Amino acid sequence: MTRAGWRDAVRRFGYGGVAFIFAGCAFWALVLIVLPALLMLDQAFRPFLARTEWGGPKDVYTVKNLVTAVGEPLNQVIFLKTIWASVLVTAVALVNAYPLSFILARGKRAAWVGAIMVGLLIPFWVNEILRAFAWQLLLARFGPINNLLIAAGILTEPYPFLNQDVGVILGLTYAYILFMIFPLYNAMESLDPNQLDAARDLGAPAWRIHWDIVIPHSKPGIASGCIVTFMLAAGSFAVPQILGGTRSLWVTQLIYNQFDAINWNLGAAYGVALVVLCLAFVLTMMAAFRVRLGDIAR
Amino acid sequence: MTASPARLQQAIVVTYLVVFFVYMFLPLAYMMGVAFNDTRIPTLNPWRGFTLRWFVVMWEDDRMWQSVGKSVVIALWVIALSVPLGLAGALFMSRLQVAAKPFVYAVLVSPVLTPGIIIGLSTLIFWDSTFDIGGRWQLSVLGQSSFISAYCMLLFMARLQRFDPTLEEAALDLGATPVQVFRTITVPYMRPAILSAVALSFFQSFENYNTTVFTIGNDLTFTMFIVGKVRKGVQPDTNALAFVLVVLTIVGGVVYEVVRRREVRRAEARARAAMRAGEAAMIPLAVAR
Amino acid sequence: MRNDLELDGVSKQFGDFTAVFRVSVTIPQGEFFSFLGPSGCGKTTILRMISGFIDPTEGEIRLAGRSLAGIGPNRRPTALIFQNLALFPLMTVAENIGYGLKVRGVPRAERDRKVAELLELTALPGFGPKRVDELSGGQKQRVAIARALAVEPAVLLLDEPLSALDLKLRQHMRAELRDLQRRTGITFIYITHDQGEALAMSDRVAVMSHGRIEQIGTSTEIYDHPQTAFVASFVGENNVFAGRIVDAREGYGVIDSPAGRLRAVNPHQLPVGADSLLFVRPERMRLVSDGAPATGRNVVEGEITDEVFEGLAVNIFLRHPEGGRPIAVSVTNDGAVPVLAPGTRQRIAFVAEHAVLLPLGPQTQPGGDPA
Repeated sequence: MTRAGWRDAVRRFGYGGVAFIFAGCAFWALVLIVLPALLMLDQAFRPFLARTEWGGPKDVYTVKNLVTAVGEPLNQVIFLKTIWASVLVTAVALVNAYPLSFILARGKRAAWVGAIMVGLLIPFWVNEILRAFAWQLLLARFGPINNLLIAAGILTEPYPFLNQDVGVILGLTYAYILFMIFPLYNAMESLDPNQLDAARDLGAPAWRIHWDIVIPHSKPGIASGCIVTFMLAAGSFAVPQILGGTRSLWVTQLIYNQFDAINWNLGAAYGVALVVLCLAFVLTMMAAFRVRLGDIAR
Repeated sequence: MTASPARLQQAIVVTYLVVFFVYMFLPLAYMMGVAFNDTRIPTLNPWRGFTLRWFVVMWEDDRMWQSVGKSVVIALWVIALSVPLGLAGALFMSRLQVAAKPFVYAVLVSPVLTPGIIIGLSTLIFWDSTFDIGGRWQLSVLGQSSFISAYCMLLFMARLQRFDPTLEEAALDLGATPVQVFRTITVPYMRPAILSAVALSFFQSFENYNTTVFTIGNDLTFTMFIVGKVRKGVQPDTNALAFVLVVLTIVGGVVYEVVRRREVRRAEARARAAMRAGEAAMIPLAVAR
Repeated sequence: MRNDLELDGVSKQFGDFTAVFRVSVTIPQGEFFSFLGPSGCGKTTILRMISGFIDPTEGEIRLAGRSLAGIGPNRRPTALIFQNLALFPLMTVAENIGYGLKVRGVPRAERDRKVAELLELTALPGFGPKRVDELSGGQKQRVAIARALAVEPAVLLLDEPLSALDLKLRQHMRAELRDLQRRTGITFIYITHDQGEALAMSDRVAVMSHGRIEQIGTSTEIYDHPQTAFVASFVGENNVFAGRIVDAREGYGVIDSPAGRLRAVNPHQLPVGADSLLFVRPERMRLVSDGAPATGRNVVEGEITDEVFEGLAVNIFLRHPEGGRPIAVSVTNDGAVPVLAPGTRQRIAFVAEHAVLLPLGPQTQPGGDPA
């Protein structure tokens, strides 16, 4: 900051105020975010040792944990499955949120739009654990969905939705679908309705209007909605824990298992791998769809 | 001329909305309905009669109340930490001219996108390795604050953006010290944002699971209590609890909407009054000429 | 010592851009002083330096002989009326006006008393409990002024306060502000781009352009005796004739211009051979009827392009021999102004005493170079 900038800041806030701002941001950035992240990264590359052995001869940097995390075939399957399922959840959320956001953004009667928004916010505010619980009941062996499918003749015996990937995916979709609606709605709301009318006046069919006008305009909203939904789904812990089981393991559970076994080093390695993979995936998608960081104004 | 296609379009829209709402609310409704079934297995079918006994069982569970208490304590500390930090961040972003601002912003907002368990695990590792402080509820406060502060910061930034900086300058010019300016001008203006931040921090902290479970050590929070009951899946008293929580959420939503609409109406009324005052003031001047 | 405000060689640089260059002026206590100039001339920057929000890069600002350097805006005996008024929206009128007193710890009873006094002074009786968003533009103005007066400043700084008001209200407020200044005896420093305002209200005016003071003087001096080409063209309407000086003696000069040889006052003693601009105001020009003699006066002949009736005056426009803006002649509407059809040739005349020769280009202050 320039000297004039400092003097201006002191003029506005006083020395105490400037100190508060800097100290607050420093504490938050360093103690709550950066240092823990660095230390987790550090631990991921150290072997699992008893406390007394820290700093001793065995405490050397090693990639063993990371190799276990991403090297073992079972783990690789789990990683791929997590990413794949998160993509699926994101896609379903996008397909469902798009028309809804569009309807809300173009809604002529503000009272209705407001009411619908609050109506949507309510399940959003209900804890995701309860929402997972609801699906646990629905998908149970002798629960309503199985009963319905048997009664309709589609199944002859109950399908074990729970303890399978499909149950978790259904749960994740339900949990995170609303995270797509709000960024999308915000982006679409700023679209000048005259543009759509002009396109229709020029004879464009509905799908073209969306493809050529609405989607490009809403790209930042779509991008941020997808990123948020994807990261939430990939990092979700409670939902897989409730709806999954021994036959449906997720990366977050691998982390938890190691945490439980006090092997935080291996857990950290899984964590690092998860974050890196997610970031790589997000960045690849951004490049593929030609979205730049500046587009996603949060 | 376009009556039929428009009607059809409207019908499709309405149907879609209805289906979507059913999808959102039916699972919750089912879960809540089970709470009233007089059977030990959490199910609606077979229906064995209406009962309120599961509510009683839920109410009498001491562990539940203890976990609620713990969650409240954590939430209050999270508010105490996140609101000031969020404010510091917002002031930094809105008022100071530092070259590295976008970088700092990215760092401060990153916990929002980071999976909760990563935040929890990294917090635990940091404090345990560095200060030999293992899992305990205070760590949960720190872990949660890393991202809840970001939410607070975003709320404050939105409010500060529309804040006229000349108001602070006018106060300084009239002789106020920076502390006085903050107390008498900035904070009153920020009040709605501060209230929102407090409410948001409370609810975000209260319902947090992923970060808490890694940092909490031996304590039990309310969400952990619920997960425990859900995984064991034994009795419908969990459903009774779910019912109460969903009803509270609905009530909260309705109250929020009512308050919001009232504020909007008030602001519009004031704007109309100002216009009338402006027009009325012109008449004596016109006459005086 | 009296609260005279001195600006001594004050400059302000923003990176490569010079906003204010070596401004020096002494404003005695109790004067109504205006800085007049177009947008971007630096007048707002000067105001912010006096009030303490910006530090000068060069030079010093002194009040009653004491330097104000290092003293923050909240400790200076100045009060600023912002262009957007900056009334505190969440406070009532009384709370706004009493704000400066409150932060100084003045007890409530005395505060209320002062606020009531000021409401009377600014013709807003009973407005105390009203909210800011219930007020009209003119009323908000007066609250802003009352709020500033409450802290009894030595200098009141006004940043184009009337620019947001409509015409009738502006004229009304001009008179009110002048009256207020006379009654309180406080030094008013007023910045504006509206020369009518500056000339009507001020004891003295500083005309500014591109960060420099072009001329300081009373309204009459600025209007009747402009010292630079900028002042001559910015203040009021003025006709310009360009030419080279062919004769210069006894304080007068003659230029050779496309409109003919014209004689005018030569206050800067510009020498023969110098390029110069001759300025003469529209109201100083007279129509010469055909055949009438024009001895002792400058005569210009041109083709009528327009005749515009504007109430008090009739403005007649002739094609300028140098091209560009037409020559403007302003004649009082005494009912006997002839109707002139466009295209007719007409002679106009003016005396040398009413015209002035000024040098070309931006005026540089002694010892300064444009940045």
